[in-house]
Amino acid sequence: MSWRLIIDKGNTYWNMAVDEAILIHREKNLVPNTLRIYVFEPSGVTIGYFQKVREVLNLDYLLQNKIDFTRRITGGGAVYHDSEGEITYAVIADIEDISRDVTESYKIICGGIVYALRKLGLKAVYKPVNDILVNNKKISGSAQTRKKKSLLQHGTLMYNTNLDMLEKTLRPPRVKLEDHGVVRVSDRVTTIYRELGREISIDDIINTLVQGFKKALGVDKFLSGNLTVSERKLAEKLYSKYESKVWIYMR
Amino acid sequence: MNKRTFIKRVPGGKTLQIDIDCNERINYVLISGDFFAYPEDFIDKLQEAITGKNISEAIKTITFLYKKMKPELLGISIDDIIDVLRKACA
Repeated sequence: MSWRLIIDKGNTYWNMAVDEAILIHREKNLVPNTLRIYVFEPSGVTIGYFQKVREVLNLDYLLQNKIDFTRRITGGGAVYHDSEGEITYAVIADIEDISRDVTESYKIICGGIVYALRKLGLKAVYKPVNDILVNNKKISGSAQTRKKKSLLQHGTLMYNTNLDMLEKTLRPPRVKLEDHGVVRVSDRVTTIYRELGREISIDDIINTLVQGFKKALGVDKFLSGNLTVSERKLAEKLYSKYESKVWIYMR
Repeated sequence: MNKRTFIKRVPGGKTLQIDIDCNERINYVLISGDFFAYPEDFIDKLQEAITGKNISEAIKTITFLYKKMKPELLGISIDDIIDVLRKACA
């Protein structure tokens, strides 16, 4: 089966709006299964659907430094998306093409990232349900939502994330840190450059990631494409939701 | 309003936070955390359904809603929610 491949970039609100727009179109069978690989420009922050914004973000710091932040439609935790250190992926597909079983579908999709990281020379390990670790530190996190027939799973791959910025923007709950046995955020997350001890090109990382997903998802061929006019229009409409206080401060 | 916060870090799972104002009845409740729920609106519906109820009615309501909507929770369980609510309203 061939999939559409979209590689693009956008700001925090646009990126979340596009993922949702594609999901809604996939649900109506208007577009094919899609792998989107994108960058946040400028850097931004997303929080999980169920998270309390004041609980998990350093709002003072974000507002003072004019860093965009929004709520995702997917559960999970808060993420700092570094424009110069993090690649985000989104898999939007028919549930039947991945797995009806939620846990299994996380494993299958995360398998693409694990494959890519191993190809790059890192000992990556999948930690259910939504994390990928290297040297026992998180390098990638994912979150999935489902409609009746289709799913959206998006997630991060940190290659050179500024861990100081990550620590300044996010406010992890104390109980969570104690459970992990370490105190600082930057002690429990890592990046590709840090683990490899050298830099590699972003194009190489993206190409390897595409290969990884091809293998993990059983894709015959990725066809480079763009959003349809209808997807773009819907994303423009959804953009205002993602930047609205009602949505962001819902919890 | 006398809002209090209860946090449960589920072993090997996610964080569940319940902000609640509860005397004889649940006057206010907000469930939050980094868990996953399918469908997501199960949590919103649950909050709505137990507001105004006493704890034993609330637990019955949760059990009913859980059977009806058959949600899949990842990182927390329905028993974690009930457990924290019980403690909060004790």
